[in-house]
Amino acid sequence: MTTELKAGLATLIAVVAIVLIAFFLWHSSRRKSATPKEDHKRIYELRIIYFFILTVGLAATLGATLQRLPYPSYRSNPAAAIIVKVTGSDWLWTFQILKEPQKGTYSKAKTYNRLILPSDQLVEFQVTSADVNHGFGLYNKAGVLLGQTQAMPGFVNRLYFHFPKPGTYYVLCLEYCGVGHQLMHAEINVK
Amino acid sequence: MNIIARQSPAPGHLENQTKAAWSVTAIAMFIVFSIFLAMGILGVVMRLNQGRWLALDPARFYSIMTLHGLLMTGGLFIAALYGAWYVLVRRTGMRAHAGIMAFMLLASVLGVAGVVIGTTIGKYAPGWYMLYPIPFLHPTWPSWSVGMVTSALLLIGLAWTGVLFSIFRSLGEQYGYKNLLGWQYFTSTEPRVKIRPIVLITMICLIDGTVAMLSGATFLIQYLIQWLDPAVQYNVLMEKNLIFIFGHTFTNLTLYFLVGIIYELMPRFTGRPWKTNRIVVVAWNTTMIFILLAYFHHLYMDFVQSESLQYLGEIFSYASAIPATVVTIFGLIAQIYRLGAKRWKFVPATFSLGALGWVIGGFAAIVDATITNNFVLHNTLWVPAHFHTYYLEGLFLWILGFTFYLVGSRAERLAKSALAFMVVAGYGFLSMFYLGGEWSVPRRYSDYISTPFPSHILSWHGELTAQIGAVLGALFLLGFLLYLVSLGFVQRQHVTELSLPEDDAKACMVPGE
Repeated sequence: MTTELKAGLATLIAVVAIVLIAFFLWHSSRRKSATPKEDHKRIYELRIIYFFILTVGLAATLGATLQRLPYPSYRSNPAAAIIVKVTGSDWLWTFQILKEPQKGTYSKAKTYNRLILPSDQLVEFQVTSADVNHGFGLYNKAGVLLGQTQAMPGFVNRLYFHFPKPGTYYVLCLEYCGVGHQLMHAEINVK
Repeated sequence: MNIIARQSPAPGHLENQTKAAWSVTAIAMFIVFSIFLAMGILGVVMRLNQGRWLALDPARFYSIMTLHGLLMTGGLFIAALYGAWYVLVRRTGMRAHAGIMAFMLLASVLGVAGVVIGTTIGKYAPGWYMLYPIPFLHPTWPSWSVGMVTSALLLIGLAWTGVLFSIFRSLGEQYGYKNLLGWQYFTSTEPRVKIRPIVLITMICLIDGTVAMLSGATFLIQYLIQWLDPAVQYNVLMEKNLIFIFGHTFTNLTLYFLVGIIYELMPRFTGRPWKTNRIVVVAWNTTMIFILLAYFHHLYMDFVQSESLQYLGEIFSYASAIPATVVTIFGLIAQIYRLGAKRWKFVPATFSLGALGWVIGGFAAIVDATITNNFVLHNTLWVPAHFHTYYLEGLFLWILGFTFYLVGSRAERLAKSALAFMVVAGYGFLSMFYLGGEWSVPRRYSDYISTPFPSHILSWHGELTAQIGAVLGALFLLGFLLYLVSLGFVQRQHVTELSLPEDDAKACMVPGE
């Protein structure tokens, strides 16, 4: 299950729950309370319970999700087999392999909007920009976003990615960069 | 006596200043609704273009996108700001400074005109948060448009800062500056100077608003300097931080100014008190801090940003969900549970449904504020999905309710029909954004024709969601037009209705308007 799907399902379940609670409240509002003070006391008791459940729930989610960040220092073995310099510019992607892999097929020279990489090796993309901000969004053939980082002028963002098997992948620009933003894409052939 | 008014003006003066505040606010709402309608139509035009039912030149599309973003966020902020000011004047009797407020509104309108000229004639199109250095490195818009829009935005920012300080001064005179954050509730549950929740929440907004305006003014002045002297360059990461301190805080404050209005007006319709106490004070004081620190979540994908700040971004994004929902939503539940309202009135209905939109949009925001999710959701359609939820089905409904109260319309049934229309069409419209986010469709694309996927999976997803979204967005606007008609059925205004600080408790017990 992709992360997007999990996020979507979680949101859907939450929305259904929120709407059901809202419906219950709307429905209950039709009857006038005979004991308003007791009702209020119960609501505020419930608020304390909700506060603790929410706090514990969010803390647990934080604990779980902050373990798996996409940043370089969160990788146990950040030594990549291949290092690719990626430069975004209006409106194309330039690739240059800085560290060549020990084995496999790969692009030997600087390439534009096209890159060949070997599969099953850890790749470090060193992403930057020659002009404005761009977004380096890595998609698979089915159009699912696998990960991303920003391409910023004057900075290098390091994105580690492991292509498990051969296939075609795509790069789409994910930061608005001007009138050619929607045309700025590249193809990565993993052999 | 619950509250001590520092300066108690004569009742005649209160009546006059409330009338003046009413006029200024009514003009502000007229301007905001005109902006909303025009920008709403442009929003539908963008979805039509993304759905390939229109074929705009990309330069035109992105200038429309920039205009839509700037004027929608700005316009709705004006509604929130002037709405909160009006309710404060009307319900606390604080000094209105209506002349200053009218002048600042005029300055804002001039600024809006500058933005419109720059984006339409100049086709200025860096997006509403104009990420540095895009305004200066682009061949498709002329240099004058950069100067014009930047100066216009600076003018608007100065006007709003003037408004913030004017309200701050009035509240300080009314309650004493040291009491505005409610800290007196820590020394006594029955403090000598009590403040209403709207006073506390507005004060939080004034402090964070000042931070936002300072940060916004900083980058806009920097932009102006570079526009005058192109040799000047700035650090891209620093500019991004400044932009998002401004943008994130500003958006949240639009919500919170309106939340203050709900605390104040909801009891007028339910007859149940909703007062400040220690929990409310703690919740809003912590919210003041959390909002400012949560903005880091906009920079998760800037891997060079310090990782400790990324951590803080997620922690404070989560934390900001706690006080807001626990205190405000449960307060609202206490207002409506077993109320005995056989038929809901329009105003409390918009407040409650708006709160629902706020919670749903907030949940989707938390999902995206989780770094591991952001890795695959950032800058997909999930982003417009969540912020359109708490704008369109959240704070916009609150603005509709407030304006209905402001003009004193009697057309309950018509307004409720319009509301039902806007809720059904609006959630349908939003669901297309969510679905697009689920399908990894990038946001801010003029069209999806040229995406490189075999059999055009992404193009198909992008276009389908845009087409359905366009139809539902247009239906939402029809509902809004219906609502505008309902505002025409006005009863004689009772602008003399005042709730002075002295009759705070009594005012809260008035059953309905």
